[in-house]
Amino acid sequence: METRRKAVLFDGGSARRDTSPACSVVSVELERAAWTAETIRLDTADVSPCRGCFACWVKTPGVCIVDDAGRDLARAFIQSDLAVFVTPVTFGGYSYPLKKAVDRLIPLILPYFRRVDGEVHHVPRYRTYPRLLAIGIGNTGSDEAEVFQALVRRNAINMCSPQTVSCVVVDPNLPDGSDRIAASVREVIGE
Amino acid sequence: MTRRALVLLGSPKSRERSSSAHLARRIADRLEAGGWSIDWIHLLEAMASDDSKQRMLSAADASDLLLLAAPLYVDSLPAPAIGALEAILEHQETGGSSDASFCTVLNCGFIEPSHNDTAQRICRRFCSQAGYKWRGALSIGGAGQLTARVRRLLLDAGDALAQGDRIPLAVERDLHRLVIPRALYILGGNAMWRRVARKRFGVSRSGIRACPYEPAANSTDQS
Repeated sequence: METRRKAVLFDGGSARRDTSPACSVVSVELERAAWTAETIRLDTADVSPCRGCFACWVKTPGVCIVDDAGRDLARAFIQSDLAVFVTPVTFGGYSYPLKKAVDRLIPLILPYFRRVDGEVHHVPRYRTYPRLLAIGIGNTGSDEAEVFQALVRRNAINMCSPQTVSCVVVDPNLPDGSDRIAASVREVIGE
Repeated sequence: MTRRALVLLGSPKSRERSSSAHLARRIADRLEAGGWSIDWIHLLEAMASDDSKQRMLSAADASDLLLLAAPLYVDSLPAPAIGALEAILEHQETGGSSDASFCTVLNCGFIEPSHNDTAQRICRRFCSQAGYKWRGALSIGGAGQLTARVRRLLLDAGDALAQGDRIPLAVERDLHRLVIPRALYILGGNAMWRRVARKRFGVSRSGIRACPYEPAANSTDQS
């Protein structure tokens, strides 16, 4: 029997900037492709900001020293075939709840350095990493979308993602928005 | 009237231990020499409660210049800095003072200062949305090492800001030069991590490479 592939969705929305409609579109599309998808609502999760102590690199390698839901996020991320970031586009980047989660993923890489395309980056800790899909809800008419896509490309290098897709939509409730999100899901899972 | 600058410290570390604070200190010294008064806000603490967040917003309102000093975390600002900028923008949109100027000094753990570029674009978008006047972006690589050249460029930046000017573009450009060759940085950096792990925590080379969340290794998960 074929194992269903696994996706984890990091929902970076909040009560004021609800991104759950975009998460629903992603989940439905993944279900349609016979993937399992778990959505984690980040603004209510018990995730402290990264302390920048590097204990996860030199003291308790691979595990954050802060014992909260941030550890679960790192585990869920690396044990998935696809990680999905959904966020209100915030100055071209991620929201505060999503950024807290992303900062807590550094136990997943090694402290060591290597060259990637001539630039210095960290060395992977694990043999495989999930594909990455980032959905931003924001203004597509400004350079905000361009900054967002640049950020996702940079993250993909540093998170060793084998396949990365990003898109920015104004409103996931409108057909254009939901269609673009669904198309991005199909693209990243290779359908 | 004395002009006021507010250093927004985005590092979660204390002012004494933070490279970002050391870099900002060089600029703040020049501002003080130019007659400015300097306040510091630690953004991790500012985001810890409504009261401390309100103190940050009041301090921002009372300032002529905001200097964001932060390390690069995963290609962007550390989360507390993002949260603080979100709070300042919301405050600006609901009647905060928008007369101030804004500039940044960011540092990253890679040798190339260009890793900070995306974070600087994020800062610039914040500045524009919040209605502040842009005063420039300083990007430093090599974990914020204060070489003689970096120190001199920071002082030049501080002098320009003290005059109410923008950071000179030549200073921004000069900071983009590597402080040491890549190969040397990789060699030295990797040796440093191994040394710290072994000497301070008794963690071996193979220990550093542990994969506690590998699906087959779940039973030995440390959490």
